[in-house]
Amino acid sequence: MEFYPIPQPDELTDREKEDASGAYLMMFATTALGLPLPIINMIASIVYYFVNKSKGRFVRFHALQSLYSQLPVTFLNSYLIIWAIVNLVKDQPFTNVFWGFAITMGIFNIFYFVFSIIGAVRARKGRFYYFVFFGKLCYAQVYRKREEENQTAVNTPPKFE
Amino acid sequence: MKKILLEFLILIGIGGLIWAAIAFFIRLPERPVLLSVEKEQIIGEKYRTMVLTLTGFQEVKNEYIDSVLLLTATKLEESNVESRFEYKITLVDNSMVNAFALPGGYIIITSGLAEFCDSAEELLAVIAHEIGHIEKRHVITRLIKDIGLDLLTSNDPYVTGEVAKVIVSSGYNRRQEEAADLFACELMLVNNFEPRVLANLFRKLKEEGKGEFYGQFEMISSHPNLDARIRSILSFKVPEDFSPAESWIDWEKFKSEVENTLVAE
Repeated sequence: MEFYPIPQPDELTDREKEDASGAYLMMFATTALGLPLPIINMIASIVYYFVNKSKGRFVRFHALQSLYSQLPVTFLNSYLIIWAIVNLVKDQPFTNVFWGFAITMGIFNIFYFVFSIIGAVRARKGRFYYFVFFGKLCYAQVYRKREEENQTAVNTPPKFE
Repeated sequence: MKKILLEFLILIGIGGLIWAAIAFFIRLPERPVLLSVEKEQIIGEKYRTMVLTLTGFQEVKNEYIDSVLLLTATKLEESNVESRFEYKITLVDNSMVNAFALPGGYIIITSGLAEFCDSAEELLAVIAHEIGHIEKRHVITRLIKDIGLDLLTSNDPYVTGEVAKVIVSSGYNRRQEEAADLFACELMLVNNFEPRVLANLFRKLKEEGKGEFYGQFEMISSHPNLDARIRSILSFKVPEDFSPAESWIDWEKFKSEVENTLVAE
């Protein structure tokens, strides 16, 4: 598996650093808007990724890491909210299993926020910051060399036989 | 790529472990409670006084009965390690077979119920069932939901009188009754009493339910599916070496005191 070389801080423009950092900060800006439906955060992350993905691999990596790490957090937060609403509407008890899930999500959200802040600061300095699992996944996706990228497109006539 | 997969599995594993550990150790209320235990006790005391002024709810005054009910309340409270309330049991002169819980640990049982029970264990099981409603905050949450906190804490005598009537007449949902049944069985077992006597009591009520009192008993009136509850109680697991202890109530004396007091009144 071959990878493109990763850029060093002095090789990046300020604009790239700001855009990469913005991927994490944008999440905070939409948090207030996103509550109680955290799905809005995710939509903003998706839009941010597609708008910025062509601005170089450094920006793309950070935008993708911010997006990917947000996916499970968003889905699990939404699931928690739906679970709570169903319990309230159907007058069902808030069991220990529910509270266990809620507190686990609280812990995950705290970690997510802390890592996002670190990610934003590091990106602003032109540095890489790899989240557990998501960091490697995004690096592999953004920096891995693909065969089709090296091939030049060849036009061929239609086949008659 | 293997490392990515490994980190993914570690992440899921850590999350699952935290979830399981918290779910195992944590003890949080099953329902959002809008009122502290202290405030609930104040409300309960107020409505106990109010209920006892209603027609058919005159308190039975007897030294022996009072001492038995006090001992019962203390013993059940002590045996329930998670108890948050001080229980107070009151016997009222009413021929209906009935028992109900008020907020704050107050329990009202009727003389009709005392006479209907064949053993002290049956009466204790009913009281344990009502304690279940109190401890699981069914009483206060139901009242807040049905009546609202404003009316519940009102000091207007007319309002409190009407609310007291609602308290006496309203029931719980099936899930709450099942939870109270289970609580009663567990509390009975802790005290070394046969928990399944509750099923016997339900069966008797069902059989004799064609009579006047069926439908008035809060424990079963709100439950069309009584057979399911009887089955559930009968399937409650007791240890193989379980041998029931004798209750602290001298049942014959208690019953005769109830009868004599009612005749005298």
